[in-house]
Amino acid sequence: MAGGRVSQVRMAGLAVAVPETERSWNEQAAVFGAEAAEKTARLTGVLRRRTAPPEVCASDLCLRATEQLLDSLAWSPESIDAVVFVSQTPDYPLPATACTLQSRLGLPTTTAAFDVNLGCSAYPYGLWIAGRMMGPTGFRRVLLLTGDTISRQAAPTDPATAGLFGDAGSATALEFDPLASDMHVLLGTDGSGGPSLSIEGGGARHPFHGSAAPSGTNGYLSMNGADVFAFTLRVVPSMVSKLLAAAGWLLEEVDHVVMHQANEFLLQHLAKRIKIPAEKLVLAIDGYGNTSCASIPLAMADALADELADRPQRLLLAGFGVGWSWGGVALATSPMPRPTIVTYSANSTELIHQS
Amino acid sequence: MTRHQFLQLVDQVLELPAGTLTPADSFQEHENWTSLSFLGLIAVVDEELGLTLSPAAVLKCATLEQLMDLVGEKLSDHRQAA
Repeated sequence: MAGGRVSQVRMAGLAVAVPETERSWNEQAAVFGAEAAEKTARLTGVLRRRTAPPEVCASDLCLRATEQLLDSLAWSPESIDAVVFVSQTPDYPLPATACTLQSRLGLPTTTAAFDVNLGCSAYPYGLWIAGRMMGPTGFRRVLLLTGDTISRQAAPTDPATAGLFGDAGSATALEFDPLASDMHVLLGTDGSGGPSLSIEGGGARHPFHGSAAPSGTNGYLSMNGADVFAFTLRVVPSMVSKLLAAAGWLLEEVDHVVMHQANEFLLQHLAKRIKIPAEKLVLAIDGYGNTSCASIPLAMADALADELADRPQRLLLAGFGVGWSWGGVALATSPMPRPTIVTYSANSTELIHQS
Repeated sequence: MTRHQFLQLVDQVLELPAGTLTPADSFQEHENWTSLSFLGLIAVVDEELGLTLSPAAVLKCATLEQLMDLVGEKLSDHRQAA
């Protein structure tokens, strides 16, 4: 595995935005029958999820989260050096959504802005990428935005994905701090797993022609659940033990383990395998679904808001899935403004950039 | 674990009474076999035998006998087919 350390960077704050519309697991009964819907909900752990209407994109959710975050930190847009947008559902094939966010947020034109296309592993990769750009001769303040409107990429008739995904956008503020504890990061890739979790149509390989799906593909997410499960068992336990070794931590010294909220059955099984005590395993999938890029920060804001605000925390973050791509971070946080989850409504205005 | 115990494990995964399935059964054609049972099978084999099944290899198993060939020496009384 690749990786290393992110030094002199602290997590200054975190906010997440979710759409207004809340959907219940039992909506799936109309399509798949009551018994099948209940079994799926019990396995995935998804009881409710938030879904964005067609006109709302991940960038809108991330924007709202950023508004909340900058307000809580009293950071001016002018003080931001870079914005990294990690998503699989960008606004457009081009320009990069990070560029449009620079404008919408009123960030200075000296801002570095770019997109990264990752899903389940987004947050660890994002912390690594953003963190490594920072330092005494680098950037001082970076916004890491991770979000997806992945729910509408799931076919309503696909039992594997129909009721699994929710939408969310997160904003994390990173700041150069010579006194910050190192973050230890491990990253990995196995592209042979690409076909097991993919959307084949709509890119350059199989472009859409007008509104018609490319021949032989569709624009929907295809997921082989068994392949995903076997992959996580192959990769995640080993990554966690290597990460603990790199950080010099025992598992008992970790306050909380926050994994990508893929599905509850998988997380509980991983926790058993890795011997993570139940009280340390963060689960947030019941209220929000699998929110792809945003799932780790959303779980942190949902389950650890008080802890992150009140006292230092030793966290182990693990993202794994689409690619196959995986990443883990061992980080020690210092108290920050209480992370919040805000609701994005259709009437949200962009408060920051007002001339 | 013995072959008998393994078969009972698969009974459990498919939510069948213990002793229902036999080595000759085509487990993937059973009406109770779903994508969720597939996950359940991978999980119990991992938990009970410390083995991560390859989904592609499982899909090629027409019968439980062939599945037990995959698990192989993890079963105390299993003899691999020649």
